Amino acid sequence: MEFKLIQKTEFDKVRALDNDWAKKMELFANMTRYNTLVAVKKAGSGHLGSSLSVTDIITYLYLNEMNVFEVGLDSPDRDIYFSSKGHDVPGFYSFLYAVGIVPEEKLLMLRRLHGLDGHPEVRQNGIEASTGSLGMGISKGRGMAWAKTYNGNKGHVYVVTGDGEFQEGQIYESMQACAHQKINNLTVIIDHNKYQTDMLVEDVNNIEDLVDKGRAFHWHVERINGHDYGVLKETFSKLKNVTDKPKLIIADTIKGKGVSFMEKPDTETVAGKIYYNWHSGAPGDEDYLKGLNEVSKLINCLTDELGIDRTSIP
Amino acid sequence: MEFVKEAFGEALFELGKTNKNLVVLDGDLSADCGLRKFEYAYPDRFIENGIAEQDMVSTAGGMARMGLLPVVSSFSSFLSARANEQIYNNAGEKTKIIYACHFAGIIPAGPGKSHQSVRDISLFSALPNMTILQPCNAEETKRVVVYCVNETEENCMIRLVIGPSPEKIQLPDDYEFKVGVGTELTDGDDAILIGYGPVMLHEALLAHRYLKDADYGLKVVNMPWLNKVDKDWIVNLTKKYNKIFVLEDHSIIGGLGDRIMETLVSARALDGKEFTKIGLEDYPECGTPWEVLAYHGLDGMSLAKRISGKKNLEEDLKVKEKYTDEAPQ
Repeated sequence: MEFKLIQKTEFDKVRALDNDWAKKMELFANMTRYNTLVAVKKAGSGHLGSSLSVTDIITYLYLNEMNVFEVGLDSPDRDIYFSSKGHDVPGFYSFLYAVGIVPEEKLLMLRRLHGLDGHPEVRQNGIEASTGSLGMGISKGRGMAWAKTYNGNKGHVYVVTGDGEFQEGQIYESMQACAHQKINNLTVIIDHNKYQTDMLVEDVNNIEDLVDKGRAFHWHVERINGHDYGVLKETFSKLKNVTDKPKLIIADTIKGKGVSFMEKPDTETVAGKIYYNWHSGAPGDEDYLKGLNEVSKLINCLTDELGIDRTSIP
Repeated sequence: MEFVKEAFGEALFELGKTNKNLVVLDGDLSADCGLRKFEYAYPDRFIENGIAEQDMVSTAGGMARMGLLPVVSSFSSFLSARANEQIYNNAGEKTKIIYACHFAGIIPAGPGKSHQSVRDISLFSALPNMTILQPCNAEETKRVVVYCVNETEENCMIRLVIGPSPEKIQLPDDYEFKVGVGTELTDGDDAILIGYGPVMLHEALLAHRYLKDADYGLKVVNMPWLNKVDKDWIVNLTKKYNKIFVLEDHSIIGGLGDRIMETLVSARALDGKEFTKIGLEDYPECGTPWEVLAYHGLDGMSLAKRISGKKNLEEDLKVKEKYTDEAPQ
């Protein structure tokens, strides 16, 4: 099987568009989803479900909120993004490829020696924190945010967490400390895709009510649709007025977003519990081609709606 | 009376005068850990985290990623064990963080085994970019802190005894602080005992004294580098001895003894020799320093008997007064 990516030049074309902003974002995100599938299939393993659910959040933040393309990845004034769950990194690598930070040959070396690590490692340009062991991210983000304030540097810290991750005790240590210290340059976004490794979070160890919990910890809390660019824009604009506390966005997302059978998986129901099959592991050949085909259709549909030339899909 | 933790706090305070990147994270143990001076002098870079070691360690990781030099301070039992995964994660980012692990070892023994830290060396020593040090007195403590802050690029774990030192360990005039190399504290030709920290070196020196009175020469060596042993130094040091002992303020598993043993074995320098690790072989007991050291066979008299095989040695009961109640209980 050949593994070919949608080329960076195609992403450049989309970034340069100045018509319908939300559709442009969706198009860009779906193109990265295509490459995520390729990279994980080639690697033979990786976490597709949450890579696909977080894609719109990453796309929105980097292309709209964050200053890294203006000030550079080495600037102490840069905005910082990292994922605390870490296993969604194939989706992030795919984004970093699309913006020219990860080279093509590296994206096709996911989980290989001298390629890209299976969970994020700071030795890769663009990765701000080594993660993968759940629960540490908000604490780390607090350290970064505190250091920025202490050093007099600009830049906001954005930390994505999983939802199952909210079963870890360290999360609550960190939420308490962030509020106590009034860390105001930190925003945590929960990629709330409802499934953890095996099954629904609510069946494993329910974490709700996240809104109540966030408020009880004295955070500013918003609960939104994590795939709606209009809502993302509105929410992040609103958060700029919150300057006295840390911010928590509970982003309701769909695990496996963009591939129908990963979104609504063929599930195995045992004793009334729904098991999710696409948390990790590469799809078989048939599913892979079917997935690529579905994402390609989404891409074609969006280019047609935007009235632009179709993206060159391998 | 000497407290190594006070020397530690003093050293941080001194270095903090010019190094604005030096930040201290505390887990609600500032006074117990000798940090008050730093806390009062530099309140803008003293971070009180409360009782949440995992959060504190990961926060330090984020600070280090932003170019600061965090010193994370707490009792070793909690810091090294509870936050061990967070320490591993930070170390893997190749930043530099100093972990100040107070209440190291088995004394004071009043609080019991939740507080006595006897497996922390083993918990840090599998990290490739970690230097583990335990100073024996105030002077060496200051030297250790300067080394950790200014001289090494590695992460550091500093083990510190929390109570008053039972005696001020005297370092020789030609004392040299060199990576992987310890300091000979006494002469003695019949056996060699390598130890670290004020408590165990005090007991080792007592053993030396008892044995000297019985005409048995025990050389006592201070070895503050708990996971770095210079091969040439240790081979030369131990060459003439057929009986080599390492005294741990720690479990005998995963401590200094294992590092020394593997160094000597790989240098083929242990053939035909007796090599013994003396330390904790069970959970640490609760009691007064004297009761507990004697129970575990770690007091000077037990050491002297075990090392020499002599049975009738004369004990100096006054040494019991060396341990006071001033340690946090």
